[in-house]
Amino acid sequence: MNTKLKRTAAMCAVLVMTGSLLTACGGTTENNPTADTTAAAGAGETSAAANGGETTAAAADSTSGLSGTIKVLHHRTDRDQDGTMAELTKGFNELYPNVKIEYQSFTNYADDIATMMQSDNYGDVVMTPQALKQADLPNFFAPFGSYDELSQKYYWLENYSVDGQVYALPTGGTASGVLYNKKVWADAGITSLPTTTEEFIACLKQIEENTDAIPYYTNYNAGWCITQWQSLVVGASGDPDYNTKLLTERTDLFSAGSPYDAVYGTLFDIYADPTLHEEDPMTTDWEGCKPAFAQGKIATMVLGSWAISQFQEAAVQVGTDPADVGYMPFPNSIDGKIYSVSSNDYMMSVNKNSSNLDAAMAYARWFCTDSGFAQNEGEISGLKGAAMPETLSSFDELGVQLFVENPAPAELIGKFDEIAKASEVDPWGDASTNYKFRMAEAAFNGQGREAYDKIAADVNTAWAASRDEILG
Amino acid sequence: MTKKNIRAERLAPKNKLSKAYIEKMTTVCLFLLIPTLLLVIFTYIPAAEMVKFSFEERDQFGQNVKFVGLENYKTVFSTPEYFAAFKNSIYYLCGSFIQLGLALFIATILCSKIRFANFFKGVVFFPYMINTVAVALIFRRFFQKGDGITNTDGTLNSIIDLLGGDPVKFLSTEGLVNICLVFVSIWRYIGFDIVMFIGAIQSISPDIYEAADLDGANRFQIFRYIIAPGIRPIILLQMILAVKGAISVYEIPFIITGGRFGSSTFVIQTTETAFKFQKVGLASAMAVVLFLIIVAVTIIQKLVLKEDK
Repeated sequence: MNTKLKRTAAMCAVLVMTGSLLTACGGTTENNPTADTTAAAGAGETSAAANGGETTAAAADSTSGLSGTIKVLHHRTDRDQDGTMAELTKGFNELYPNVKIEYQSFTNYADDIATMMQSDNYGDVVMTPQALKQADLPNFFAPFGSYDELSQKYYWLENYSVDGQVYALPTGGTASGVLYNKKVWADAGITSLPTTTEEFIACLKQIEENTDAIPYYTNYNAGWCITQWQSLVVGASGDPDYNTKLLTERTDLFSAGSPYDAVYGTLFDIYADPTLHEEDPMTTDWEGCKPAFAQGKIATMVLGSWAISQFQEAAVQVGTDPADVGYMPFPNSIDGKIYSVSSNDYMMSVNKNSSNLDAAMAYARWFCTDSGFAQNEGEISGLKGAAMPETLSSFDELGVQLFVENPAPAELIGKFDEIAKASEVDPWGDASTNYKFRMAEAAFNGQGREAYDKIAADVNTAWAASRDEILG
Repeated sequence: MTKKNIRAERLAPKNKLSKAYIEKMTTVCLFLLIPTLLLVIFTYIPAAEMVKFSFEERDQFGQNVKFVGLENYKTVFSTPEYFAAFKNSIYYLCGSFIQLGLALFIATILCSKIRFANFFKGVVFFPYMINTVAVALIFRRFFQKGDGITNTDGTLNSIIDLLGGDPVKFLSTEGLVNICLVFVSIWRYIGFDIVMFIGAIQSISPDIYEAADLDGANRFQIFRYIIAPGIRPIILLQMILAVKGAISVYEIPFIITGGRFGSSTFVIQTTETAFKFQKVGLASAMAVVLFLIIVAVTIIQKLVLKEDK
């Protein structure tokens, strides 16, 4: 009897432990701030909402008659936790008091949303999954309106429109470039920012000689960090039609002096010099690099401009000056000018199966137009004519030409992605066999430029084969 | 045989539908219902779907489905890069035989009369109960080579440093990284092997040991002539599981290195094909091929080991 009891107790303990481990693994957080916000707002309109939705106060605005509960699926777990999302709901409920908003955020958003989209049940408003093929958008999402009309107002709709209808609106966008610690660069004795890639590497060497900071932090362990280099490529070309020309003119990705070569050649040279980066690239830590950067232990990182506000927050937390977080374009000047490209962050779409379609539409429109989310995040607004975020003020001083890519001609829409996946070259990808990792590891292992040339040639071959097969 | 027993036996078939029998069968069925249901829903149906997918071209969202017949299988077998990843399985295979030997050794010791045997059993089994993600995080820290600026040396490098050696980049040196990952794998899974062996060793009748003691057998002879033959089926089973594990190794390299620095495996490549390149059909075909390889290896192993009996 005694042993039996013991065993049962042990089993229970094991079950509880496994149970808690399982819960610990589920990376989703759910919160429902609606209750708080209705109470907090306290206006006549909201109490009407609390009483069951018979609005009289809504007469002022014809659309505020919308009601129902909508679920917003998104990737910003941090903004769920720090209450930013709840704050947004308050703003929305001032216009639409009868709509309840529930947020659900995922740490592994891209994969989870793809799985959820196998059924009809994927919330009402979602961040548009980037892996979805453009032509498939109408199978999942409801249209916001015609491209001709909406493109007057928003950027980046080209890749999210099918047959003249728009299926996603931009929540914000980022510029491509290099994050650097102004204080460290100044301490190293650098007075003017580099304008060529050679100067850039010379600056890193100067930092290595004159300061204690790590000149460049690869963040290699977080696989996605290296994909940030890809965002430099179009900017380095200075050509809004660069990606289209890759298809129409059938140029190789890598050739001497091509934008790919300029960007990844620089990557290779930095990674190949052990004095220029951290000791062990496999044990880097993304969260830990933020305070280290703010404290001047790290001088430089290639990251999109979306990162600026996060590093400024880290600077405030560790008590250093957020103004030291500097941002510069990738120093590949073309005829004396430096370019940077701005591109969209996650877009927002509405589930076409939503039972509260109008309310969901209203929320998505409001989020992308009036919520101020992009502005608060230091991102570039998706609205045409909106002011540049303060985080990019340095671009004005440096005379950077910030441009938006031109849309691909109709017959080439989606072809770039198709070739990217079919050839497995996948310029934006972070599979372990990706050329970015192969180049980085060849550099870390001190294999020299021949290894780089070999990988570049492999990429050209694979790309050309799939391109010629798909374009005919 | 007593009269009573004979009567009971005669009555038994007639009583097939007796209340007690029905009750018993209901209980059995109810107990089986949930596990069977779970097995069907979470193993058989998805596996059948996967086989179906392997004849199709489809993406992660289940869009653009197109039946392509054996095209995916042709691609798998005509791409040597996919099979190159099996060379890393050799590391894990070697590792798993070291693991079996060590497990057998520890299990034999723990079954002899030593103090705190139960405590040590708990200690060796404990890693098996830790979630793999946690294990991966522990060992990333363990093998870390710090730069003194953003992070410090990990446990192993600190020890090397104390002994006066130079710190090593364990996880970013090709070749070495696989050995480190195999070590983690052994640490993680050896507990399960040990428990299996202990169970088997304890099922050997104590009379045999007593007889051996009387005959003056030493500890090695006891192991060689009593324990080893006694637990032979379990050793064979563990060897099959070891080979299967070595071919389909996934979580530990995936979490610690993401398959970089030459530590990729076939399963990592399969998931990347599905979720990074959006080729779910091709990835399903790779999974089916892996399944067939494991079945084939198991059959060969069984045949070879039977012969040598």
